[in-house]
Formats: sequence, C-alpha cells, structure tokens
Amino acid sequence: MQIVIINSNATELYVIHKILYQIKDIIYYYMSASENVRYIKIQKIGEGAYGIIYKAQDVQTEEIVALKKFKLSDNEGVPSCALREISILNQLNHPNIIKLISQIIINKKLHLVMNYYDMDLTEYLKFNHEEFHLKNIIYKILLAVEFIHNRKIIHRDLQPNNILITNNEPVLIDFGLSRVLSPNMTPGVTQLWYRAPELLSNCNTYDYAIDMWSLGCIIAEIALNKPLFMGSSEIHQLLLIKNIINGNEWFLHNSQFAKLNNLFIDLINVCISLEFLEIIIS
Amino acid sequence: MFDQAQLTELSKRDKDKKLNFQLPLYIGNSQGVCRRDILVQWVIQQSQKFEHSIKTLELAVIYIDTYLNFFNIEPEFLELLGISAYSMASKFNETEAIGQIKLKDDFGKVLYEDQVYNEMEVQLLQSLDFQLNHVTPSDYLIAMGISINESISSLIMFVLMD
Repeated sequence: MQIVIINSNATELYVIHKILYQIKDIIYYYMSASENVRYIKIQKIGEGAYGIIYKAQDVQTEEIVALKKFKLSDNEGVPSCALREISILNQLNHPNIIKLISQIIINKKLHLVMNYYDMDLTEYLKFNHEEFHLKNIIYKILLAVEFIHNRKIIHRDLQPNNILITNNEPVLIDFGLSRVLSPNMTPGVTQLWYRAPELLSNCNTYDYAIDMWSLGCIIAEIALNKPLFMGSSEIHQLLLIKNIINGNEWFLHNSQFAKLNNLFIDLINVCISLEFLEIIIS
Repeated sequence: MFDQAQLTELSKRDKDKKLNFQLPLYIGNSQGVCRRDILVQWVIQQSQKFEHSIKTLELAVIYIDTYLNFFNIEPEFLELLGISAYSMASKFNETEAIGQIKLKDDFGKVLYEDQVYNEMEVQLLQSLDFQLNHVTPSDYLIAMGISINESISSLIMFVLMD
C-alpha cells in the first residue's frame, strides 16, 4: 500500500515538474518573443540598394514606426552606410530631423527603428497650400541643414523624397549617404536632378556647398511646383544648368521667376552658387 | 590657418572617454610591454598596406580600447578584434569601401570562420553603443592648420601606441 502511495507521489511530482518546466519554457519563449517580435511588420514601404524599409507596429506601445532593414553581405559584414547612418543619427537631436528610436538585431540582421510619417514633400506639393506653410517649411529645412552642417556632417542626399511632412512641419530623413566632412569623398552621391555641378564634373574635394545646391533646387521646386532641372544624364543635367543660369542676373531672363519676390530669388541665387560653374565653363 | 571657432566646436563635441587602464591587458610584463600595445602596433603594421588616412587608424584604436574595457577577450581573439576594428573604421571613414579584411596564417589557411567576423563586428558595435563618430587628435591638428605629412602621422602613431 505504502509503496503505491510513494509511487503515486513520485509520478505526481514528476508531472508537476514537467508542467513547471513547460511553464518556464513558455515564459522564456514569450520573454524572447518580446525582444524579437516587438515590432510587427505591416507592409513594405520602400526598397533600395542598402535594404528594405517596412511600416511596422510596436507591440508594447502600439506606435507605428518605420523599420529599416539592412542587408548583410558576405564580404562586407555590417554595411558602411548603416554604420554611418547610426553614428550620425545618434548625434543629431533636432525637431526637424528624424529620430532614431533604437537599433535592434533580429535574426542577425540589423534593423533601425525610426518614427513613421506617411507623406513626403513631392506628394505634399501636389495639393495647394497656404503660402506661410510653405515659407515655414523652407525655413525649418534651412535650420535643420544648418544644424547638421554645424556638426561637420554633410547630408549628400537632399531631395524632396527625403523630406517628410507632418502637420506642415518638415522632417529630414535618410542619412545613409551622409558622412563626416573629410578631404576626399566619392562624387557619385545625391539624386541626379539635385546634384551639384562639382559632383557632375567628378570632383572629389567638395564640401557643404553640394547640400546648398540641392536645397536651392528644392526651394525653387516648392516655389514653381516643378523640379528646376530635370536632366536625363549627367551631361544633359550640366547642359540644363548652363542654359538656365547664364550670367549673374539669369532669373531676369526667365519668365518662370517673374512672379517671385526679389528676396526669394536672392535666397535661391545664394544657394545655387555660380562660382564653381564658371570654373567649368571657362 | 588657425581656426579658433572650429577648435572650440571640436572640444565641445569631444567627450571624455572613460577608459580604465588598470586592466590586465594594459599592464606590462617584465619587459614593460603590454598586450594592448603589441596589438596596436600590429594593427598599425597591417594598416601600412592600405593607403588610408591617419584618422582611420586613430578611430580603430579608439574602438579597440572601448572594446577591451567592455568585454573580457580571449588572447587568441585579439587579432580578430584588431582587424575588425580596423575594417569598421575604414568602412566609416574611407571613401572606397574595402569590406571585411580576412586574416590568413602563413600557410594560407583562414584563421577565423567568416561567421566569426560578423559576430565580432556586432559585438564591437554594441560595446561602442553604435557610436562610431569620435573626435581624434588629427581633427585638432587640421583645425589648427597643420598639414598632416609623413612625420606628423608617424608621431600620431607613436602616441597611439602608448
């Protein structure tokens, strides 16, 4: 009789142990899950050479975020654009620059978690807006670019697609191509329509001026509601720039600019500096 | 040209790196040479094969010191740390990406598996808190208007080793 009781006790203990172990496993599973599945991917937003961007939801705070996943190539390890983007974004804390919430590693792949906004400047300009909103956007973009230049960083990829708009306030994104100023840099950066003449002529000792050129193009685009130079190749782009900007008072000959305020034209003129172009032409 | 504004900006950005130099790797043996100095010397030697700027080297040494303060490392992985730090610095600072540098021994056999390099890079990133952008001595020199020639860069290398 007694033996039976002991036996039953043993089996009971065994069963309890097993259940406890199962509970422990389940708890561990969910603990690890909260790390790995903290962000649920909703849809793919964009794709580039660096990797894929997803719209995702944070399970803990139910916030919508953007997840940027980097491809890991065999020979390179962590890609250089990821290294630069993380280091640079961590140093920038400004209301008009995208905030890097965290960086996580899921399945040995590096993911950046950032705020999500659904409208960029190109889409924003398709609708009509009040003039003071547009002025505010231009002003805030200039402030943000001044902020990054003060920290010796060049963005190198300024274009309307990389400026998001939320509540009529601009936010600069995509620092994948940006880097710290150094004496020697690659000329193949920035989208063609916004590329400065020094880049088009394959110069590798440029500085902050290339960002200012892109800004000039963007400001002109906000004012005219269409891109200023729409080249199809590097040579075509240079020709377009040369045709539109000839001489110091180029905007007087161009009917597009007739309706604009003089001060505004001055601003564009300062950004689209002619100094370098004159060197090429001569 | 001596640029005062740039200098003050640099020293504002330059954070004091809290490094503990009392670790076993920093304490010299009977001849007064410590493992960390040997490692840095080896990295400098390897870096001569590439024509990279001196800043890359300075960054690599900062990464190595940060990692050594953060993790305990087995002696056989010291070379891996050195080469990973150097390839990360070159990826961050150089124009043309060289990718990961793989080590081979004298007989052409690989020293570490490919997977190990990736793990090392991730660990290094974590120890650095994903921050690769640091102010280095050569930044100050450029701000002071001193052109970095061969003798200056060998002087910097000498400082790095100590």
